[in-house]
Amino acid sequence: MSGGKSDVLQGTLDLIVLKTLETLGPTHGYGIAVRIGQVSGNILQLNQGTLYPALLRLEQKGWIKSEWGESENKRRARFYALTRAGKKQLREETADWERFSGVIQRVLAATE
Amino acid sequence: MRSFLQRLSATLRPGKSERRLNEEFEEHLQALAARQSEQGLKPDEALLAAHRDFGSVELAKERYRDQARFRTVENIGRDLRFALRQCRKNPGFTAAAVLSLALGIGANAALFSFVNAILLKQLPVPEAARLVVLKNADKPLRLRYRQLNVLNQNASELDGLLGTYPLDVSVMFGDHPEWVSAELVTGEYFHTLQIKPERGRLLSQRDLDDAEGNPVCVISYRFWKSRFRGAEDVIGRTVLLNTRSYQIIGVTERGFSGSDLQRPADLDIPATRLVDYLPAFVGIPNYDWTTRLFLFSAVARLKPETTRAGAAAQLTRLNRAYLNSTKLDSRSADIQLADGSAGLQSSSKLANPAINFAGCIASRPAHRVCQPRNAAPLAYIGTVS
Repeated sequence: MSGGKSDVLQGTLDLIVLKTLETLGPTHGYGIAVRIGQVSGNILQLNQGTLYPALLRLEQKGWIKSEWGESENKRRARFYALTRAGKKQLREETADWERFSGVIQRVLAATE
Repeated sequence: MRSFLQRLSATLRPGKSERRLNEEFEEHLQALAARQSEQGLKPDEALLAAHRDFGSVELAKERYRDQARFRTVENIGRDLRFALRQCRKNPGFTAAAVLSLALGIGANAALFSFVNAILLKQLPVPEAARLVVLKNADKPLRLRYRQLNVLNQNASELDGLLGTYPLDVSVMFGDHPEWVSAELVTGEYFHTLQIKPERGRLLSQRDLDDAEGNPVCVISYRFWKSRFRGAEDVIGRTVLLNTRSYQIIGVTERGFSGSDLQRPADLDIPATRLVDYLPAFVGIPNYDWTTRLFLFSAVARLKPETTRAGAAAQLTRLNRAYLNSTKLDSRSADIQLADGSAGLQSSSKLANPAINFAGCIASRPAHRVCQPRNAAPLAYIGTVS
């Protein structure tokens, strides 16, 4: 937590990636990394290389799909998009997360 | 399932996922560098900054590969290829290893089948073909001491019925004890197997009946030669078996090592001394183990003119009568007779050469030497005059 930046919490990367894809529509890896940085105000320190194994895992689970396309600077890039199963997963994970963070907030409020 | 299939296909054909990985990473780095250039960095500095943002490229690639494929399968394949390459690089060692394996397994198999047929398949006793093992429902039968005696006294179709219980016994040599493989046997043991003494005499029913006051034992020829150096005065000596003293009355004939070929025994002890070896079971007040404890495996010798079926029928009849007379459960009174020419049991093993070879490999650590393609020196040091 030092320096006001924090590593992406284990297990939350999936949620973040799914949410990013829902917001942006089909996006390449670089775009996802940039977006995560922007939205979190550069507080979430994503080691960008670790994004790709995560993308692959989500694809293997059938939550996202990918295909080759052309990026803004006219280069070949792999674009990722949410699948129907991915949308369902995102809803479930969002609900889980809200429940979880709600509990933590209540616990912290009670101890203060 | 879907994930499994994808990973399997990537494992079998890693080229495709590897190309995709390289292309994606390259694109990402280029995009990062492009943004850095826009902020005014020189191209090489921009690329450096891009790498800083991205983190370790190789680490990310490895993680990607872990997710994409079954690495264990890949690694086994690599090990195999490495092994083959090593074999090719050291043809001498390979030839020696293959030859010793082939010879070892071949010779062992040949010798074993010979030994198995001639020696192990048959107890070294006269007319082993007449021996039968008592069974019930295909399992070796365990009988009570008294039961064995009753059956033996009444079975006119038999030329002896022995009972034996294998166990290891502590024998004192000087002041240190040693485990010796022994059999606790009934009085008919040597008569049934028709073993003759090499020295002294062998156990009889009388020795069994007198065992309480006069403990005696018989030793094998091998044991006599190895532990007593074949001493002529061995008969009459006392030995301490499980701290009780026994008198040696005889040595069995050469080559005989008990009723189980897979478990050679060097000592024969009267079954009626059981309390010395199983005190917890047997040494209970008012407990007559001879009619209660079914402990003894049984081998019988058929009379020359008897059939196996005839003897089995008679034994079953006698056994049922015995069980009824003692009010014991007579439901499993049936006795079948199986071939006993090989003694009580048999098994085999062939693993030795493979183990030897494994030891050979283990003692020869893999060494890899890097061989530069052009053996050019890295630098010249010296002066040119």
